[in-house]
Amino acid sequence: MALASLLATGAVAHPDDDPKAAAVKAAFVYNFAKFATWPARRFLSPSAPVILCVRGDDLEWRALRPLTEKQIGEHPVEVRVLDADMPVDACHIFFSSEFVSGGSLRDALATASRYAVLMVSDMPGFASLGGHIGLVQDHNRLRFQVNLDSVTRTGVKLSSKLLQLAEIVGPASQ
Amino acid sequence: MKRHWVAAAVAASVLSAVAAARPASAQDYADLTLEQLMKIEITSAAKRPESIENTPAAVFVLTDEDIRRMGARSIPEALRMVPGLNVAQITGSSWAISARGFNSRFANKLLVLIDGRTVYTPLFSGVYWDRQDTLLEDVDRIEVIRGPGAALWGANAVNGVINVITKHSRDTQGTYLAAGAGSDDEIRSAVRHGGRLGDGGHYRVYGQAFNEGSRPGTDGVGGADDWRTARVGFRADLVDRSGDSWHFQGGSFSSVVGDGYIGPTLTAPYSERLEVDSEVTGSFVLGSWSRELAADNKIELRAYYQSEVFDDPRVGEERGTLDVEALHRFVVGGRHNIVWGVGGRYSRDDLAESFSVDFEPDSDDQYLVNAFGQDTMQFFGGRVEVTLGTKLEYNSYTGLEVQPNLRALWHLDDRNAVWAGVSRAVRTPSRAENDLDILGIVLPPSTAAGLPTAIRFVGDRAVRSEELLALEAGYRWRPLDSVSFDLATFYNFYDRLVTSTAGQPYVSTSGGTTHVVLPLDTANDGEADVYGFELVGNWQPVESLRLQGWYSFLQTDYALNADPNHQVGVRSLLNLTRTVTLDAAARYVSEIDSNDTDAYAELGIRLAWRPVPNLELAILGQNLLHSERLEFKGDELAGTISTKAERSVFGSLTLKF
Repeated sequence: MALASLLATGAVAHPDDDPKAAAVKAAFVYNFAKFATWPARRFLSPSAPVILCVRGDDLEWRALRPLTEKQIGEHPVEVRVLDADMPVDACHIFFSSEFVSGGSLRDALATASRYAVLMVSDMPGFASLGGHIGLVQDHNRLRFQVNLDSVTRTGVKLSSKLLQLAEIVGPASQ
Repeated sequence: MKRHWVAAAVAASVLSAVAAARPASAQDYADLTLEQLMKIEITSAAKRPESIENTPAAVFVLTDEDIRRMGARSIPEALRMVPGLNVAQITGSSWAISARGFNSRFANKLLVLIDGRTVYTPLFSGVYWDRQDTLLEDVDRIEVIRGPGAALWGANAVNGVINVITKHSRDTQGTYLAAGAGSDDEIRSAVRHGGRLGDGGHYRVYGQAFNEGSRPGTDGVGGADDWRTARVGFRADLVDRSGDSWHFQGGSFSSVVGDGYIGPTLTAPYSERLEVDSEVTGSFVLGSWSRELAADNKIELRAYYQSEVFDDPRVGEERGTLDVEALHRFVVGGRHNIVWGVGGRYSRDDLAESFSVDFEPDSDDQYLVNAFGQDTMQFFGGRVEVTLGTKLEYNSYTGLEVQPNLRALWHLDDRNAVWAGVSRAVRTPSRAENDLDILGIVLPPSTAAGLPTAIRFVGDRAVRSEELLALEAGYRWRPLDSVSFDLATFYNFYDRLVTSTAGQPYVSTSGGTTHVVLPLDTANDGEADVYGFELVGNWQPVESLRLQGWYSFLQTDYALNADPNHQVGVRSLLNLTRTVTLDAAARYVSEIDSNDTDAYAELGIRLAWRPVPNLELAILGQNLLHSERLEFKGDELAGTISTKAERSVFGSLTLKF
């Protein structure tokens, strides 16, 4: 039978099951962190780590882990895996493939604004729904959308270099 | 720790390259700039180009976006978008679908899988298309291989493989509601809900129902092919504490399928027009388990059971099928990507006889066991890949069948690749070809004093497998990032094709009427050559517009050929504004002489508005160029009265939250 999974073309059941896609997404997250400036209160000292967080059941966390050897400016990179119920307030940037739209996304964004956490997701329409940075798959490449209005509310500043490459969505673009 | 079974890697390794042999890490990409990252090709959701470009076979992938934007409401409708497939509707619920020739309602050289579950029936080695469905919103993609895939998939993967793959339950979280209505009493509704299951698990449950009214019959009388189906199902994906992945799914459906047909009678006028409502129910459960033994070393077990009950005055059928399979994939020496596995299937049927149809024995079982192995080797730094593999299959009708294939792909550079393959495939005989005795048509007496002649199709237990030797070659060219071409050519040599030839007539008094019986005996006397090519072009001139065009050509010396020589398809997917999309599909199908159907051109257009991201309103117009049109005539022995496609409109509303 079967061997469905053998079907030629890379029968990938899910994007997250694709280690290359996960690695590229992780690299995007790292790059976003490089081009973001957090309010000074988010770092206890100039050498305090930049904390990249990811939900525990996303493959991305395995892809992110090697980034702990990186440095962003003076800040070492720290990767944390959060279980579903753990708060995101310690994170500088938080990636998750799923925010159930509606309640949990709204709550997450409210928390993010309060603590200046940059939220990144590859769920469809994330930035349009009020998320900060959405990774969008366009054919077989990734690009990203920024909801400037939402990002502004967090107090995190994104460099113009990043914004030039982004597709701006949300109220500020209309 | 959590691990994922990378189906992709298996796949990629099998027919395609060995990207998975070099594990990707964020480390490899972290030092790239955003600009560079945006240029990297990834193989996932819409993973056509990279994977296809690395596959030494004629492969086409329909993505979920393709399916949604063309407004496909059934799997056959979605398959109309696939270049080189011959998709023809006979009645509201019956279809003739094949690749590279031999099309018919009972086309028997195509293997169709839904999430790894084989859905062709051993009864006639074909597919009851009316029974194959799922919530199309949940389909991740449909992968179609034209040409033999027998080395991996085994018998019946002769002219092609269609693999419907549904989304991971993680991708279908939240609630989805859809409703629609259109011409001819068409009404559809669907609901799905997805949620989390414990730590790291996800599930979805869905239900859907539809009704389609009847279409006009070709005999001038209104058709009787109205039908309706209700279906429920679920899927769950879990990862346990030891990191193993588990996957479960199941479903049930119940249909009432109307059909009008000409039934034979032994007395004047020797035929009668009949209308039936058949009841069909079916269920399946499937489970799989996989473990990553080490990097690039994975093992998977899969099993499913499915049962169907078909209640029809012509032929009643009850069938249960159990299928188990194990496969193991690993990399040796960095350049050999090996997949091997073993599997078995057991199917038991119970067939009810009628006036015109009889199976002897009434109840029987069919089984097969198989083993396969395949090695994909890389040479010259991965620029050349060679795949060598075979399947050994032992089945209860014909014994051992050996189905090897050799394929190679050469990346000339980043934009050009050529591939070629040679394969042997067999189509094992069906239960019908072995055991069926069917009264097809009754010819009136030629003189007043003469006897009527009943033509009976008679199966034979001595029937052997049909054989194919296939030569294939293809070329892929991407002159620009936004433009690509894919050419596939083939020359197929068929031998031992199953034929029906007139046997020795005899006089019978069965049924209380004296008549002459002309038996059509089943034998393997056919030979045929089929050759042709398929050319697909893609162009994305601007981000908001995607264009696709294809042409397929087929030529054969097979006398019963019911495939058009020429088919053309054109599609346009346009984002008019951020919230409005306008999509169109046109096709041309040349005449089919042996089927007595004319050439036609047809057009469908879909306009959709998404005022907010979770709400979509759409209107779909189909068959816009004709008020009525015959597409394909059903099999004469089965007496099916074909019905005509009509111009139609369908409006739908979908909501996600």
